[in-house]
Amino acid sequence: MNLAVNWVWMLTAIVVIAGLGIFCIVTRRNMFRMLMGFTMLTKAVTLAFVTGGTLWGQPGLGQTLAIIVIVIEAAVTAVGLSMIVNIYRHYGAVNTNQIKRLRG
Amino acid sequence: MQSPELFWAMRILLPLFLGAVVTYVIGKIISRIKGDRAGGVVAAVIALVVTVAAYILCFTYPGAASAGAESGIAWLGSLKPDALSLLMAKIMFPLVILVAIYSLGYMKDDSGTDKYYALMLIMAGGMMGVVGAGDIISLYVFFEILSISSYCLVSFRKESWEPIEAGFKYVIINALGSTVAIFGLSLLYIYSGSVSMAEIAAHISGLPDLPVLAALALITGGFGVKAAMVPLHSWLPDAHSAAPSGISALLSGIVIQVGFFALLRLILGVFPLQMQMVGTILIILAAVTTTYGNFIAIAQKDIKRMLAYSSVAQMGYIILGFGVGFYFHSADGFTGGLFHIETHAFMKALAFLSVGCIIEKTGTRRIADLKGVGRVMPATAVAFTIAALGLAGIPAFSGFMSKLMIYKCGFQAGTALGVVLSSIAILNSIISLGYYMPAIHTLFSPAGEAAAKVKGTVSPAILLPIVIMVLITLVLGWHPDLGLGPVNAAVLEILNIIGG
Repeated sequence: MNLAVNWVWMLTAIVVIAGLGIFCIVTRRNMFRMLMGFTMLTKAVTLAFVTGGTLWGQPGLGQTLAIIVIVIEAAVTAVGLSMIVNIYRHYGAVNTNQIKRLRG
Repeated sequence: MQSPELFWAMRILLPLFLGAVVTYVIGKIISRIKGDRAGGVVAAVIALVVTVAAYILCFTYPGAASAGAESGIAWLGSLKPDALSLLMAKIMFPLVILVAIYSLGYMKDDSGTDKYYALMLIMAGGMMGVVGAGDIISLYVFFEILSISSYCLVSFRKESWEPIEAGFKYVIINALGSTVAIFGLSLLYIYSGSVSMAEIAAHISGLPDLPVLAALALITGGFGVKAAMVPLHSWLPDAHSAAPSGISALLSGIVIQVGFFALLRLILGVFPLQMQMVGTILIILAAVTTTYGNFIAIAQKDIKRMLAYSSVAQMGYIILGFGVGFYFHSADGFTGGLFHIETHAFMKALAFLSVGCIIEKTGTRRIADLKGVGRVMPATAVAFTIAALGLAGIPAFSGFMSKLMIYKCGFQAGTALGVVLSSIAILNSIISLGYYMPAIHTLFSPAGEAAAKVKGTVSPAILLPIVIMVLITLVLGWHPDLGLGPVNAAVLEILNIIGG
């Protein structure tokens, strides 16, 4: 297996996944999809750490960092979901264009 | 002899995080037995004891003692506190202590205040971790601890719609920001194969490559969200005005500055050779941020949103100080920026705390409805006036001294750019009077209906922090040298790193 070819592919995958995640957060109006976009963006970061670890011959360190990122992502997602639940209680909607009362 | 790393871990971080757990558990038990209010009071007392103890321990900081005294402990490498961290600790602890006392009076009718004080301690621990971090992963982890606890604190009053909606906006934008920042950091890891800042810096000693520039851009963007640089500030006015007033004071006073501090730490630790470029970026961002924040603040009708936009503008001043410092390689710029962090923390906290007290008594946040409130609650209104005049940079208040240093370093640089920057800063100071003066005028004009609603006196727990902050603002305005000691040590540290 040729590592040099491999990491170009990996970098492309990282950039594509990160781009998809940011696109998802910016364009979607459903709050769950916005959180999903955030989750996808963190997946790109996870992949980047694993790639870096493999490249430099420290797979253990790369995976450790990936797990740290996953844990933090889970915590942020939990807080976000709890806020969506509360928003649903107040408005009965989960779309951001239906709940806009605060101005920019 | 103790090393600074072990000191930071054992004397600053451990008490705060352990204290958070103890506060929550004991507060919960007491509120089960004696009711919610008693639980909140006990939690507040424990939180106060912990923060005061950690603050006192701050003064026994061993300095740059005995390198490698405890080098056997591997995880100590992830912390690297220095004079800059100590300065932030000396600003943050008094602020947290005063806000905790204030909340004792301000949050007494809320339920679940045991969680409130525990989250506040976690937030303080996160901040101290960020300022003492020595590698990119611990920086990120502590930053997320800080962010997650502040998300929860902003939407603490979940019974009303505003904190929840502002909280969701805060979560999404800030989560995006910190993920973009860690994306930049992961590029640095791929590029250099190490997470320690010193080793990454050794890898990029030459001219910057494309990945390094991409990483710098992503990191600046990511932490720029946290530091509320225009155009990434849109979460700030919502979150800071929807939060309970004590938390608004902490967020505006120190949390956004810690966001900028994380960026500063990375610039100093990882990119010390690209000073000119970093300086240019910071100067442009600062000029836009200050001007935009001030102009939008004039249009605000809600007093807390006005103060929130003024935080954006003041953040611009701080960044301007550092930008000029990096660009012209001048120590005065750093002194001005750091001293403005110090004075602004107390002035802005004072403004938010006194406004919070006024809002609690009158039940309205519209500036136009606050007519004559200053005549029925004179002490609070005078405190707000002092804070507003200090923020505008009127002589005799602490804000003037720190802004003066920022103006001075621009003029001292001697080039056209420096003079233009100082002029922009002075003009902005005048523009900012355009929204502080009408607010002060409304407060002291003949009484309206909101003033008639005020009854009862302000509780001493609310009044005490306000009085202390008024004293700090006045004393630093007359004797700035009293607050300049830790600032000068921190500036020396920066100059050591960038070699000047």
